[in-house]
Amino acid sequence: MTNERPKVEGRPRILGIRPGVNPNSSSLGVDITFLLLGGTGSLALSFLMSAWLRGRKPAVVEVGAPKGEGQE
Amino acid sequence: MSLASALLAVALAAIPSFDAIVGGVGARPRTESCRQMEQWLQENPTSPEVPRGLLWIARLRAMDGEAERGRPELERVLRDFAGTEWDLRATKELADLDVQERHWTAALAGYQKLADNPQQPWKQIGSLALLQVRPQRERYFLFEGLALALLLFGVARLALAARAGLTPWKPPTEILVGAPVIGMLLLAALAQPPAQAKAVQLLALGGAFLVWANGALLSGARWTLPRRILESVLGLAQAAALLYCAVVAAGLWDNLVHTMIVGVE
Repeated sequence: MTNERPKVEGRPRILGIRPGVNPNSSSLGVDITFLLLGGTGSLALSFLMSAWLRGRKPAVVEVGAPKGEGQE
Repeated sequence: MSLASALLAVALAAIPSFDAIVGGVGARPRTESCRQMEQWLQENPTSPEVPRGLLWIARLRAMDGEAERGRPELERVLRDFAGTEWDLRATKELADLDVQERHWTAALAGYQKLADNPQQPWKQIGSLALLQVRPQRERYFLFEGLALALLLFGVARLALAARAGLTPWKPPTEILVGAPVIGMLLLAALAQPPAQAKAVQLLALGGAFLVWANGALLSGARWTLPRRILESVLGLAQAAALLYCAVVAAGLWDNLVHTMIVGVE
């Protein structure tokens, strides 16, 4: 009996590992759940900020500036 | 034995047997397996294995992502072997194909035929499929309506901005601020499986369009409290509708519901 390790012939059987994925489950992975819900949350936040921050009067208006400048 | 019959015998011997074709499917390209089976079917038109061979070809084509190319074989089984077990198998395969192609009426008719069959397990298979496909059809109709509404809403806002003398083609502040998030979503989608990637891409690109259209019009709005509240509600509704459209279009609705009940993986 020898202590030599058997040589692995050809390519290794495990070609890649994909963390966070269970092929036997119907649930979405944590990453895709984060992307979908996070993306939707960002979108909603963008709309809300647009609705509440747009059209605010500037705190300081330059003397001599045309009327309405600083307001989009 | 004449020369002609000898040549015929040699030619027939060159065609592999049914079992050899089916057994060797892993050792050759699927298109070649389909070609061999088609040749076998031509040489053995009266064999009892004919319907099995036809269904086998249809399944192989579905595995190659060309399920629609297997439709003629399935329809031939329905036509030539009506009233047999093969008829029911082909009905199931065709109905599944119709669901993929979103031919809802044909799909539901196929499953109804199985559900009406007194024989188990076909009755159960048909009944369960009906329970699953009917809501799927309703979700798809809702998705189509919402997608069209969002598109028209965005186009109408851009048109109104142009009519009000604004510059809808110029990126509004909202899109400039949101560009990094949109870019990150599109980049992250590249690392996802196809269905998940499709959902994220739809959400990012649809969101960019809506943010642009809203920003273009709102840049010249006269702001009052009711208007701000109305725009907030409209914004939340757009975000929710876009998420629904992205999830349904990518075929992830059932997975999302499962995730809500069981939790993420």
